[in-house]
Amino acid sequence: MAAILQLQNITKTFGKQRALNHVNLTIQPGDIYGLIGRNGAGKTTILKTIVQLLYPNEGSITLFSATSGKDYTKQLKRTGSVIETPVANNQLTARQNLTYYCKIKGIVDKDAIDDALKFVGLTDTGKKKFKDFSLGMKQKLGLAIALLNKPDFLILDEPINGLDPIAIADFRKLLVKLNQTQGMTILISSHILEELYQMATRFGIIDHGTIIKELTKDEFDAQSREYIKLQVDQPKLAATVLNKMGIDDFKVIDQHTLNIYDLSLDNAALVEMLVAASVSVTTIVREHINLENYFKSIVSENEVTPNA
Amino acid sequence: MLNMARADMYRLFHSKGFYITQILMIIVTTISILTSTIGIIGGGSDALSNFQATNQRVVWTGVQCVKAMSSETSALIYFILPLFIMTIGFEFSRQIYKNPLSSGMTRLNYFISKYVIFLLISACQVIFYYLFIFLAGGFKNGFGKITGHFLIKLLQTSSIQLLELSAIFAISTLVMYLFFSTITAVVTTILFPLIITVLVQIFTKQHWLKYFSFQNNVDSAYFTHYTSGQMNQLLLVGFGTIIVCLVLAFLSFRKRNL
Repeated sequence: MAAILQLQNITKTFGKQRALNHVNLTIQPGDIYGLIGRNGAGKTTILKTIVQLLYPNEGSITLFSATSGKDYTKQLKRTGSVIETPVANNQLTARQNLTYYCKIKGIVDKDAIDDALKFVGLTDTGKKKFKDFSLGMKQKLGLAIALLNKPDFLILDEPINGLDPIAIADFRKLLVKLNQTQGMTILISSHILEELYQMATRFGIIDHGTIIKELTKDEFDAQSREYIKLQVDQPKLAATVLNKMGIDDFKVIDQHTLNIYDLSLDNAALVEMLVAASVSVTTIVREHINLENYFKSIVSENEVTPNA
Repeated sequence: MLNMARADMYRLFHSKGFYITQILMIIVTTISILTSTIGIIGGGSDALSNFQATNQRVVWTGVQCVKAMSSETSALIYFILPLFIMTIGFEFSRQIYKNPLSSGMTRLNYFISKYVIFLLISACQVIFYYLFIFLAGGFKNGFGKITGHFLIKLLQTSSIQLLELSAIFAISTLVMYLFFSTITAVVTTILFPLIITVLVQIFTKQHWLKYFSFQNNVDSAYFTHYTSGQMNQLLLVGFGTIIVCLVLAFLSFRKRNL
């Protein structure tokens, strides 16, 4: 099946500053692609480039098999997006704003507005105008506007920023529902990583304008499985002890640390064996890598070896 | 473009600002008609003053109201300005352009749609202005004799006035697209005609300047007897200003980082 979106060697500069540096990214149908990065890493620039609010200096973007010109712009009609902050007409209510955008998009389905309002939970805002909305309500209306034309591909830029925990959970449920019931492909940028972990099926980590890591949720889960963190004075000797105990699923991390992935291990027995072999144990604790820690470690590696 | 026009009209009719603008225009013109007085905004010329003085001495029937008030039509700058802000200004000050542009509308389509809609709204405002004046004057002192000459003259006058007003707002549009600032565009709309009026009065030998005095040309459109050559130059400068400003505005917008 053809990819929904493909960025090839996209470079974007603002003056002398290079915001995107040869970005390659592919989104497959049905993906919920989580774009992770620090502030200023290039997340919004990527999203703006996709929807043609910015034009790249180099590279090509393919959207629904269209690469450039009128075809590409035409395919943008199959997308819905909320880039940066949600925008709408201040003096209009939620329903009036949706009516306005229905007219622009040429949507004649009479139920479209009610469906969108119901879907995002804004049916009871009455005569309240957009300018008086809370941030959460604005985010929801932004999503409703993006969903009006029932897009195949939804692009969201930090949609859960500023939302309270309940609103965040609601928003997550909405997106997962769209993905699972309507088969909508979603590209979402965020730095609230625990939330992103709960909804995304693939992740792309961007730093200094470059995608430094792409992985599926399954690949991440495999890397983030629980382990026993063991800190000793002589890791080589500790490794020998582990081998003698028949344990080979472990990794020496640094001069004092080993990660042991075999969780059937009896910690007390291990400590006893290590002490008997004159290995001094300072720490033995169960840990696991969450997305946040994983992101930090990947970005730290990139700081040491940039563009590696 | 039709979709955008429908949407913009919907937004306009749901904006308090639109109704406040129309009510203010009605109040100002009603006061002028009831008191049979007209004024000059931002200077003007001796010919304009004479025209107004002559008109203030006769009974203001509907037809006479239209003739007299045609010399105060530059007030429409201030009654079209809010519509300009509501149609084009808010798009940029509130970044509302992001929604249509990110969902499949080309920048050319967007640019043309916005300008054409604004032009139509401006034309409607000119029509509404004259219609109201005619009716208000008619109800006060009778409608007067509507001759074919009057209708042709009115059509010519309102067309030239729309052209000259559009030239002023083409400059505002250029400023809007260059700076994405509603305030800068508003200030330009108000100051540019005044500055040109002052320059015309200072540099009296620079005859070409009068063709750029759009505000004065609006007010004197009914009674001015230009030669055909002068009229051609007036139209050329008006159309030229609109085209140059719009082309520059679009070139600045076409590849701009939004």
